[in-house]
Amino acid sequence: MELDDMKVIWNDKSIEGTDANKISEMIGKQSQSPIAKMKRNLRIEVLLLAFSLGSVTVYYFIAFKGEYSIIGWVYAVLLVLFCYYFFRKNKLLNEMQCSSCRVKPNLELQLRQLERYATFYLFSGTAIVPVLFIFLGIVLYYKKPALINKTILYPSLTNPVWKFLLAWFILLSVSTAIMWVLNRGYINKLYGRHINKLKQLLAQINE
Amino acid sequence: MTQDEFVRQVQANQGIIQKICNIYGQTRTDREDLFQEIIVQLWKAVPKFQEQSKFSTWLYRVALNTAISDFRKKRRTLDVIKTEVESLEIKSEFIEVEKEEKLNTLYAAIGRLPEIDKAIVMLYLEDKSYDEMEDILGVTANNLRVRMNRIKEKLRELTKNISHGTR
Repeated sequence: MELDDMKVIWNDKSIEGTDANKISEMIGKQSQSPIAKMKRNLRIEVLLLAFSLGSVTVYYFIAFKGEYSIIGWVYAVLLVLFCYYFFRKNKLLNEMQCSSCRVKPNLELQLRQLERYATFYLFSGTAIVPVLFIFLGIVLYYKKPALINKTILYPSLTNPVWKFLLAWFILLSVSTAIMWVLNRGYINKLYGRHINKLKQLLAQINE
Repeated sequence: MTQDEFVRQVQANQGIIQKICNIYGQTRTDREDLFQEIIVQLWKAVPKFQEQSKFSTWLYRVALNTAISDFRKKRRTLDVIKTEVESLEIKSEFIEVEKEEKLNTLYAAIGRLPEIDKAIVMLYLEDKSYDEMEDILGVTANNLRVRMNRIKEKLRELTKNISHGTR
């Protein structure tokens, strides 16, 4: 079969059409593209975190006659960090697709932005562990001074500074390393197939 | 562009969308889902449509970008796909059976090409010039010419195999 001979049959306009009402109905439907789904998931994450972290923050400011307001501040700082995290992720998602662009630049854009997104997810998801430990350490230092002499995590007369620094170093590096490995596996499971598919398509187009 | 104008334009050009869906969708449900997704993406992209470019060129870009980036899991296995592709709902009243068979064989053969080659061959069949194809795909016209020769060869082989009932 010669392709050029097929052009006439191909361009025969006998394909079943869709009526105007059906097309108008489709316009209002949700997109099922991977990027649209990622955006929807991000919105759910924002709502859940804003609600849970926001309520805990308010609780610590109001409860116990403000005695534990420092914990409220810690949560408020965390909330700000999460706001930045979601803002950045949303920005990357918005820049991930240009469906009006030519096919090749669009695929390149998708791959570049998705890799940035995954890297940002990996770094921020890992960095949260040391950040949380340090915040917790600061809170306990101020609120439970009795602990200071009972653990090597705080400097004291019986615990020299080098021991305290070493303890923190071990704690943070081990927990961060574990989180890094877990996050990498999770992110690969979430976006690995998508990234590989984009690479495969770009390899095809650059052949 | 108002919603009514958009619907009118889409209706006038829906043959293009249907053909893209036939090429990239393996089952009827895949094709219907893809059709809907392309309409949604087109409507979302309307604010970016610049009147100086042709509506059909813009439509090809959005529709192909949507079809190529559609990574949803396909619903059926390859064996079933073959049967379904061969039974595409193309009105046969005005096409002789032989022509219809040829077209179905062609669809089945194109269905076995890599995603990017599918787009190239579709634009070729739509009688687009290599410059227009470059404008839609972002691949140089020279590169497209070379690739098209390879694709023609591959399709010749594939259609022969399909007609003889081999894989």
